[in-house]
Amino acid sequence: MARHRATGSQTASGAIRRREFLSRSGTVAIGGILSPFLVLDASGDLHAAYAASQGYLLVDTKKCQGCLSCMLACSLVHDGEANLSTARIQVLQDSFAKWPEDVSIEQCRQCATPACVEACPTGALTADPQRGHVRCIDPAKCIGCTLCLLKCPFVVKRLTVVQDERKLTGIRAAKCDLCADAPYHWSDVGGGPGGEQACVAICPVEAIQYTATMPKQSLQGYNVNLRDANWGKLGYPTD
Amino acid sequence: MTELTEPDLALAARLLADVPHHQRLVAHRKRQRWGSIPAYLYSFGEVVRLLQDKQPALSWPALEHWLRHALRDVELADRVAEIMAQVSCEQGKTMQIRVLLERRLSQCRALAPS
Amino acid sequence: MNNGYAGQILRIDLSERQITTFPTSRYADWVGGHALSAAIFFDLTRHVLHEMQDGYHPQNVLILMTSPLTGTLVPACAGRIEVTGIGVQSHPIGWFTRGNFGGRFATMLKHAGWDGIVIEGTAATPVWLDIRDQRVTLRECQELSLWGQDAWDSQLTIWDYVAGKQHYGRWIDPGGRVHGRTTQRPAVVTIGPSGENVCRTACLIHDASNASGQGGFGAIFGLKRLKAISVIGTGGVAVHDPRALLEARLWLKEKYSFRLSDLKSTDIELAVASPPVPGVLYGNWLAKGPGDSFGDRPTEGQRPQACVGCHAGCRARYESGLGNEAGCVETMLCPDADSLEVQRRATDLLNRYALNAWEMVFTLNYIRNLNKAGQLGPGCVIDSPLDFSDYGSLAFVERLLHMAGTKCLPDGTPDPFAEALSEGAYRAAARWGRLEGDLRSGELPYAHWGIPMHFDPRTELEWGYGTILGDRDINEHDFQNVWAKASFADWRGREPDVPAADAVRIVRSKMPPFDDDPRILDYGDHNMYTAHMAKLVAWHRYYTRFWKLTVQFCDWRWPDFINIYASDKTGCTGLAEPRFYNAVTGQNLSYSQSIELGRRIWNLDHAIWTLQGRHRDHVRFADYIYDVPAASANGYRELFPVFEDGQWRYQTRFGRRLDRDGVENFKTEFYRLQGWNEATGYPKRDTLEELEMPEVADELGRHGRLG
Repeated sequence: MARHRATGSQTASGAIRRREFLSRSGTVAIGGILSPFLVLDASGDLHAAYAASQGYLLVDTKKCQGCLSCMLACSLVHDGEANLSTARIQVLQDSFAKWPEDVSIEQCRQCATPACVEACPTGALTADPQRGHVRCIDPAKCIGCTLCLLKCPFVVKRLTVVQDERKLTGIRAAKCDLCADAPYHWSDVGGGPGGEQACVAICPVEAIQYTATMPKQSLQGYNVNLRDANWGKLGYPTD
Repeated sequence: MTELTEPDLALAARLLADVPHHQRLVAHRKRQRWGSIPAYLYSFGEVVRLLQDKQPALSWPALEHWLRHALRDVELADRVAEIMAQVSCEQGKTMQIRVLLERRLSQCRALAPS
Repeated sequence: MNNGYAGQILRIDLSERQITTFPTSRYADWVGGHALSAAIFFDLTRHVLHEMQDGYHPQNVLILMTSPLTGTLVPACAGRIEVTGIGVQSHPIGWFTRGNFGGRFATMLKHAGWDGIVIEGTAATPVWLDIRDQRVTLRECQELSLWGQDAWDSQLTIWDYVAGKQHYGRWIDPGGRVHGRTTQRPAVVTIGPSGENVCRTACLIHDASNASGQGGFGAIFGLKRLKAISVIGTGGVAVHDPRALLEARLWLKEKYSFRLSDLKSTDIELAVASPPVPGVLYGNWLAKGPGDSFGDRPTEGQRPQACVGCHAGCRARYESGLGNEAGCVETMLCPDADSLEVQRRATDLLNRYALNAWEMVFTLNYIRNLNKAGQLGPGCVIDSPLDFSDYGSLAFVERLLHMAGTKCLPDGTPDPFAEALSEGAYRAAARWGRLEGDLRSGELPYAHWGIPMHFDPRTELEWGYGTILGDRDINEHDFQNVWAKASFADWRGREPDVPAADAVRIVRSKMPPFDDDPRILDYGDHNMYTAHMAKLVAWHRYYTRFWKLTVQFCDWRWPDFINIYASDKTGCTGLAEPRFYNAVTGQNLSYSQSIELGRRIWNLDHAIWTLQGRHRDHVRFADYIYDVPAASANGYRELFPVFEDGQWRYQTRFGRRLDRDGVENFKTEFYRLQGWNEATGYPKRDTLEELEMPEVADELGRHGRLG
């Protein structure tokens, strides 16, 4: 049984989200409503419970046109440069492959139980209550150990690294914060939950969508059908 | 549209065969904005195929002349002339002439399926 | 640097196997892309240019160059790269020429930290260039058995090699720098069999179907024994004002781009407003879909596919994988094919052989006509082993492409007919003793420079004039796209969306410094050879020289003259281009200044051609353009704006011929406008000095070619 560090305090809205999550994921609460708060998962492991993120990105990999504009916009709004490697959303594609397997989009899921947060040894990575519990990295606290990256459970790690000469390792970790902390954000509204996300705003074919509702915690929960009748008018499949 | 008279075997054979080089029909495959690629048509089937293209470009009088004199299908030539006279929109002309020629091709193939 | 540039250019000497670099800032005046390439090319070859009559010259230099906007978020621009050098396609000599291609290569090169690549010399044995960020290595092809592979297999082989023991589909470390990581595959530009066999019809291929066709640069790669360039970059491009760039992109999206929720057109356009649909031209009767737009398209599962940064892709990837990413003329090789599947497989074969699609379409037409005329075939005057009995089948296409791309019969035997095909139809006609006659009759519709006609110079005036005054089929659809909309409406029996007078007013307003000329867009017979027409052609040369060839805005999306989403139909050209450019570079370039820069670039190109031997007398069309009327066609017909009886109307100009004396008048007007000698076409010193190119004037003076 693993014992994990709990992070952050809970808000009322966070508690509502958390209850929603618990009812969906089938975990059993054995702690109190107030933080820290532990749950048993289906395999019997004990986990810290995190306030659910108040925002998520959904994608439609069958619709994406592979222009990588989302990646370029992401790195621009966060780092001030166009950089595919530091983009917090990754689009992978193979020119010679068959649709729909020719493209995959790997966006951060703002996991209900974020392994990256749990792995962070300095508290730099948190479900940040100031930013709607989005799983965020405090660049000042990050030491560039990349443990978060290693612990991310997905094949294409949803975290990336940014060159940072101030760090001993020469890098720091970066991840999707729904543009909550985007120094080059174009809009007065700003990013984060309820704000505007660069990838969503830029995507020419509306293959990325923001939602405040936690998706089902599976690939299908995050990779959805965004192809409506208008898409069909262009001769593309909508089913 | 009035049905076309059944062609006789000789006419069907002419329509299904290639014409010699000097009797070819020159048209164009066009698309808005892409340019114009000459299409050299050596059979009635190739003409039908061109008309099934998205935006075929050929001279209707030249087609009528070709049907009348190269293929000696007077009835079909007359019907093309009728459409030319009656329909003002080029897209409409194209569609009606295409349907007409497709019917004639089907008739010929039914007579001489080989 | 914080202005869109990587800051350094790679210089590869294949003969010495030497890799050096120099700073991009050395050529800061020349911005990027074509202009920067032409300036480098001039510096490297100025002393031998007068003897460079063909791209096979050993001192020919091939240059691949990005722009400061490459690899950023600038739409329909960020993913393109210019290719420049002496070509092998044009006739009577191989002019200094150009091509470009899209996809991912340009972005990867920039993100690897390079603005461009200059390639000199010839390798002793076949090599490929492996760029991983700052680590650049010339590798032997032998190690991977790369030489001999087609243009797709060679890319897959290189992908595997670069990944090593890592796997695509996750983060990989290409090994080019500390902490470098990416999820992307290397971008590879390569030649196929046609390039290896030094066929003049050989092109460069990147990914499935991005091609640089004109000029025959595939043959230059092959001659230099350079099979491929692979690049993978894990860095980025710093831009001057990221916020301004994002704002500009969103402004374009909101005001001028297609809107899925309010589609005003489902058909592809060559304009900003185009929806993301593939520009395939299969034209196959089996492929009719639901509605007007789909007649050319396969109906299986598919997605649009775009170059990096583009807001509206013009290609697609399919459930079957057939014809992935193919568009335009690549999909027109076999209009008489037995099935749509044959057409799609033929397109893929064309890309694997890496043959110039436009040339092959016209070559096939030409040899089929000769075959039908009894002139070409086994035992005929032109003794050809190509069997036409299964014309329309995939087997026929395979034989044709194999012969054109290898100079051999399918069994590997060298064959003179196959070798003639590999030279393109123009040179083949010369070998067969048919050139003069077939150019006179138009049987060989190669209107200029030994290159197939694209738009008809007798009707689409600016296209033809631009081509003979330059070096290649201009392939710049700027005005054509506007008139095509009226033509399409006419075909459907409808009034044009924008009446001729309004279209002319909007377009002209975007044509400084000639926007005060009311007759500049008059395609009427009375205006074919005038100073007004000279201004139209000149403006076209300037705009495209700067924005398309140098900054790399895509021809299929820019300029945006008329826009169906804009409230007053006025497109964003003139506003958008400088807005994007300035956001990235931090400059304060005005639209008028950009056109003037285009004039400077155009003059440099013209000086290079003059040093190669260009004289006014070279500038002419093939005889049939003067002697045979433009084809008269009903069905789909092309309309142009004409000013007659005090008003603008759209009119078709079929049946028109060019007049030889008229064309000479036009040339005189054009040379006068340019400040070139009207008798010779040579540039004048004053003109070049005004354009701050005194060293170019000096070089011309040394060779007696100043006007």
